[in-house]
Amino acid sequence: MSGSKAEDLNKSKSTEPAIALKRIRTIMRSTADTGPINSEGLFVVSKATKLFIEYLAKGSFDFAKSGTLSYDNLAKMVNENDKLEFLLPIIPQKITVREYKEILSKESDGDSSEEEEQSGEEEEAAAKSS
Amino acid sequence: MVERIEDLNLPAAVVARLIKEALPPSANVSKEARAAIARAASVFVIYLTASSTAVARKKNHKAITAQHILEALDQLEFESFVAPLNEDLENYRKVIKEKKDSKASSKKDDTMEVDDAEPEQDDE
Repeated sequence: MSGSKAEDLNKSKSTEPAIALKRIRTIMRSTADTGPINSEGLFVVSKATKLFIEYLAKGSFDFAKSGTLSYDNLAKMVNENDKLEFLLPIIPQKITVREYKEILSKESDGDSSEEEEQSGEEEEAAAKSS
Repeated sequence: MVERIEDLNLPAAVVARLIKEALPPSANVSKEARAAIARAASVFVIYLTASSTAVARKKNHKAITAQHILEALDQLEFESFVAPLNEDLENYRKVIKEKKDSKASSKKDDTMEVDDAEPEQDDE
């Protein structure tokens, strides 16, 4: 069973959780009706979170024109990727004041009964117009 | 329970390091982008937990296991994470088993062979 030294090194790296399991547990348990999580589950979530951070960093860097990853690059990725929809409320695309005023004037032209729905779509509409 | 709201954030230094490791060495990351990725990662944990809870519940399981989480990732279209995670999990199980075995053998002073160490560990 005991592999070469290189293998052991590799193994220890992949089994050492990147993010403290205790913190992961705290966040997981903050969700109201979550049951107990076993240690394997905790380990997998920690590793998945690491993969997710890498996924976001790499994906948004593809939008970076200079060598600097900016918030706008990240927001663009979130906006264009369907499976990242859950991040839209916390990583909205930024819009200029002028764009915002345009949206407002468009909204007041439209049916006022749809106000509730439209406010949610504002960001998306703004993203498309930019 | 959560005592301080900061406990729901992932450690900033760890997140910064993971971002840096994912990008080419010459890349820079704006402060704002770094903070947003950290926030996104916290939300991801909650999102994944909620989905895993739903998977577990469907099977009438109360506790969340690695399998529930992997299934949830698949449902959330992060199926590309599943293969590397399975690999990590396999290694994790091996390490836990080795630890248990060495503990058992040192305790019992090698008089007994431990042939069936359960890797499953339910805390709480």
